[in-house]
Amino acid sequence: MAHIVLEQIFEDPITSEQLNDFARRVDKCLEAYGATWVRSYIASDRKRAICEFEAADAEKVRASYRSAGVNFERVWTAEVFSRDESTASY
Amino acid sequence: MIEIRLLGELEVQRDGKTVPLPPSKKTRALLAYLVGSGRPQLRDRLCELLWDGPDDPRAELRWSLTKLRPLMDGCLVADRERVEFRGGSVDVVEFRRLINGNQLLAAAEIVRGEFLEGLDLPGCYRFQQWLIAERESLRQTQVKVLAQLIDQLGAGDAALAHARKRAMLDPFSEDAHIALIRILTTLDRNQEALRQYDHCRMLFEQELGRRPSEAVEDARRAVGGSAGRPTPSKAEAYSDEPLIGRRDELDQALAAGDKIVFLTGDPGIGKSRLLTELCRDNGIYGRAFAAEMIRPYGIWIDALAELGGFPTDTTDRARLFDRVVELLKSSGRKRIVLDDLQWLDEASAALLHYVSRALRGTPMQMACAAREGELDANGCASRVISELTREHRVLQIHLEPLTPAETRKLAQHVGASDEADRVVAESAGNPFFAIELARASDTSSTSLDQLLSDRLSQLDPRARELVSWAAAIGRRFDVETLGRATGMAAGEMAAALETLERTAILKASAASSYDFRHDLMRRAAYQKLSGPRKWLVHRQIAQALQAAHDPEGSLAGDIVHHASLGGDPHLAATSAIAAGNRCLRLFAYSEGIAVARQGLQIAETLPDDVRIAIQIELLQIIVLTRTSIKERLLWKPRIEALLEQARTRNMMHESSQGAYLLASLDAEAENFNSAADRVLQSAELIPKRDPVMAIGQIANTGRCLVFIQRDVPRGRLLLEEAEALAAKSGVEHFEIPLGLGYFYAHIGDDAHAIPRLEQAYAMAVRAQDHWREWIATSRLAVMALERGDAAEALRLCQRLAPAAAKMTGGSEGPVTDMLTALAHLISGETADVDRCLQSLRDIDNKGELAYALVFLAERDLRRGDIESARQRAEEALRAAEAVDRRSEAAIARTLLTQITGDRSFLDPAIGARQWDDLTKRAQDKLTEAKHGAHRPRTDLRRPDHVRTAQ
Repeated sequence: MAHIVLEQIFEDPITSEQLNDFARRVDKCLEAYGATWVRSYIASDRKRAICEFEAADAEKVRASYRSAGVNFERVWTAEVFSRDESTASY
Repeated sequence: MIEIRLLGELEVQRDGKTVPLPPSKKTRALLAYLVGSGRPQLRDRLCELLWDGPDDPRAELRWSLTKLRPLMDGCLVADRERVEFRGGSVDVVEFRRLINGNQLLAAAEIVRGEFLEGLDLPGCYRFQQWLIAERESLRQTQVKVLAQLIDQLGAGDAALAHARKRAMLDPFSEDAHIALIRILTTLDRNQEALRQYDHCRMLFEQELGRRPSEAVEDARRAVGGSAGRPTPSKAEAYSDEPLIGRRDELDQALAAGDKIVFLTGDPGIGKSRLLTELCRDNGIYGRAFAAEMIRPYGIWIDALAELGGFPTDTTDRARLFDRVVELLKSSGRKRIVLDDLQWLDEASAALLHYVSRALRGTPMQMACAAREGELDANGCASRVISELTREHRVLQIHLEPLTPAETRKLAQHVGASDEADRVVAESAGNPFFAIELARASDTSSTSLDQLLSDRLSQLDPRARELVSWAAAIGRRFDVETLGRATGMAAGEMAAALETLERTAILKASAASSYDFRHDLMRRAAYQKLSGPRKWLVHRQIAQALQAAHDPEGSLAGDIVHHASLGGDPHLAATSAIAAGNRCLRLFAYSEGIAVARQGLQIAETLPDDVRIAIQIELLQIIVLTRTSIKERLLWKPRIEALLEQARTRNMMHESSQGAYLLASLDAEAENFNSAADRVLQSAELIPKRDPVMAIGQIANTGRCLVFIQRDVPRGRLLLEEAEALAAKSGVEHFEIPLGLGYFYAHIGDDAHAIPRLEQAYAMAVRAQDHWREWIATSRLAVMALERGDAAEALRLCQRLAPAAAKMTGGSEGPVTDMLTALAHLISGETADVDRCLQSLRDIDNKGELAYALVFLAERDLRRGDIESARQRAEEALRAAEAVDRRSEAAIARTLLTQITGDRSFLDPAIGARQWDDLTKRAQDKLTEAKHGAHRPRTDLRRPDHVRTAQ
C-alpha cells in the first residue's frame, strides 16, 4: 500500500460538523475503493487540511472524493522521509 | 339512521343524505358483501374473498375496515375473528319483505338498477362468483315481480314502464316482448311496438340462432296498420355542439405558455368540449377509459396512433420515454391533449410526468382534464399532478356551471327555444345535461340518467343493439372488431353507426374507429344491458378480439377483461399470460404484476392440470418484473406450493419451470443481501424519511461496484433495485443510468450502454456535477476507441476537456489527454503518448495507466514492434495488479503469452465470480488465448425475450 496525501483548501474556515460530514460521505467510498484513512491535519485558521491515506494508488483516493462530491486541491503519492543520523543535529 | 342500497350502484345514506364512500373498490366490495350476505363473516373468509395474494391480507382488511367504520355509525361490528354488519336498513331486505307482503308496486320501485352495479371484481373470483349468483337470483325475482305486476295493472299506461324493464331484464323471454308489444299496441304507439318486435327478432336471430315463435308474430300482426316512417326526434336534429361561454377559460388556456393546462370539474361540465377546442388547432388527442382492463400506456397508444404509432421496439423504459418525446417534438404539432386522467394507468402516468418535463421550453403545449374528486382515487395520476403543481408547472382551471344566460343560449342553439326556461332551471348550468334536456322529446324525465336512457330507448333496433356492444367494449373501438363481435352484416352496421353518429351518441375518432361522444352516454348504454346479455356480449367480444390479428399482444389485456366478465376463465387466464408478457416488453411492471395477479385469481376455477400450468407462467411474469426483490420474494410460498402440486402430478415441464423461478429468486436475493452491506443497511433506514436519498444510496453502491469491477452482477442488481424504486416513487437519479451504462459497457453491450451513458451525462450537466459528466463521457470515449471509431472518440474527448478543466487537482486532465492521444493514433495521426503516459505515472493513476499501456501494447504487437509491446505489457501487468484491475491484468497476460510463448502467464485460476468481473473484452481475449475454450458467463440468466428487452 502506498501513502497518499490529499490537500484541501477552504475559502471559509471549516467547522468540525462540516469535516465530520465530509468524513461520513467519503468513508463509504474509501471502503469501496479499498483505501484507508490514517490521519488528518487541520490548519489553525481552519482554511487548509492535509489528510493521509493508505491505498493502492492516488487515484483510489481521488475517485472516493469525487464520488462523494467532496472537493480537494490535489492528491499525491508520498514516501515517508526519515532524516539520517548525519543530518539529525540540524 | 343508516340506509344501505344494493339494488343499483352501492349507496349509503345517513339521515337521508348520501355519504361519500371510500374510493377503493375492494373496500366498497367488502361493505357490500357484509351487508348483502347478512351474517357475521370470518376475517379469514373475507381475506380470501378479496385479498388473495402474498401481501398481508389481514392488514388490508383492517385498513378497509378503518375506512368504513366512521361511515357506519356503529353498524359495523368486529372482533378478532369476525366482522358483521348489524342494524341499519337494507333495500334488498326491504325488497323481499314487500314481495312477501304482496306489495309488488313498492317492491318494483325500490330497484334502482342491477344488484351492486359497477362493483364487478373479475380479479377476485370468489367475490365475483358470489356477486353473479346474487345478481342472477335477484334478477329472476325482479322479473317475476314485474310479470305479476303487469298482469295486475292490465295493458294501460301504468304497466308500460314495468313491461319495458321486464323485456330488458329478461331479453330472451318471448312473454316479456309479447307483453310489451301488446301494451304499446293498446296505447296506440304502433311505431314503438314494431320497433320492439324488430329488436326482439334481431336479438333472437343473432344470439339464439332462431326466429321468435308464432306467439311473437301474432303480437306483431295485432299492431295497428298506421305504422309509417317514424318522425325524426329532436335528437336526430343534431348538429355540432357549439362552445358557449368558457371564453375566459379558453383565453387562459391559450396563454398558458409552458405550463400544463389542467381542467377540472364535474362530469358533463364541459372539460372535454374545451379540450376539443384546444385540440382543434393542430393538436393530438388521447383519452383514458374507466373499464378495468390492463392497457399499459393506453392513452398514449391512442394519442400517438396518428403520429405513426407508439414505439414498442426499445430496449429499456428510459429509451421508450425518449422515443415518445422525440416523436412528439418532431411531429410539428402544437398541443397534446389528454382527457379523463382520473382513469390513467400507472405506466401512462409515469410517461406523462416524463413528457411534461421533456417538453418544457419547447413550443408544444400540454392540456389535460380530470373529474373533480375522482382523481384522488387514482394514486399514480394524482401524484403526478401534485408533483407538477409543486414544480409550478400546472395552470389549473376549474370549470364552473354555465350562467343562466349561457345555458339559455345553448338550449336555443340545440333548437329548444321554447323549453329554454325549463332547461335553465333543471340543468343547473351543466352543459351536457342542458343539451340532453333540450334534445329530449319526453319532457317528463328529470334526471340525466333517465334522459340518456330514454334517448337510447328511442333508437331503432339495430342502432340500439349496436350501441350496447359498443358500450361493452369499454373504450374506443374499430368497426372491424365490432363487426366480428356482433356478427352484424356490414350494410346494417354502417346504417346503425350512421344513426348513432347523427344522434350524437357516437363520434368518429380516427380511421374506421368510433368512440362515445361522452362517457356518461357509454355508461347509460352499458347499464341498459341486462345481466345475461352482458355475459354474452362480453364473451363474444373476447372471442372477436382473440380472432383479431394481434402479433404484439396489444389486445390481450382487453381479452382478459371481456373473457372474465363473459365467464370464460380459460381464455381470460391464458390472455393474462400474453398481457403480462407484453407489459414486460413495455417495462410496465406494475401493470404486469396486476394482470398476473388477476390471472392467478381467475385460473383458480380451472381444472388442476390447466391451472398449475397457467399459474406457473403467471408467476414467472411476476418474478421477471424488475420490481423490488423484497416484494417479489413474497411470492415464494406460492411458487413452492405450485411446484409441489406440479411434482405430485408428474408435470415435468411445470416442475422445472417452478424450480427455475425459485432458483432465480434465491440468486437475486442472495446477491442483493450480500451486496447490501453496511451502506445499504443504513440506506434501508432512510426510505420512510427520504426515498430519494435511499434510492441515491442504493444506486451509488451499485454504480460503485460496477465501476471498480467488483461483484458486477450484484452491482447490476442494486442498480435495478434502485431503478424499480425510482420508477415507483417517480424520481430520477443520475447514478442509475450512469451505473447501468457502465454495466452494459462492461458486458460489451454498446447498444444499451450508449443511451444510458448519454442520459447520465445530460442529467449530470443539469445537476452541474462535473465529475459524473466527465466519467459518463470518458466511458463513451473508451467504447468509441475500442470500436476503432476515431472521429467519435475525438468528438467525445472534446466534450471531456471543458469538464476536466472545471475540476482542480484530479487526474481528469491527464486521462483526457491520454484518450485524445489514443484517438489521434488510431486515426493515423501522431501523438506524444510517452508524455501522456508519464503524466499518468506522475499523478499515480495506475488503473488508467494500465489501460493505456495495454491499448498501446496491442497496437505495437499489430505493428510488429515486439520489444515495445513486451515492455508496455509488463508495465501494464504490474500497474494493473497493484490496483487489482483484473481486466487489464488479464489482457496484459494474454499479450505476454503471445509475445513470449510462455503459457504460464495464463495460469492464474479465475473463479466464476471473478470471471463476471472481467469486461467482455478481457473475457474474449482470455478465451481466445486459451484456444477458444468457451467459458460461460454466469450473470443472471433470464429467458431470451427478457434479456433482449433489457
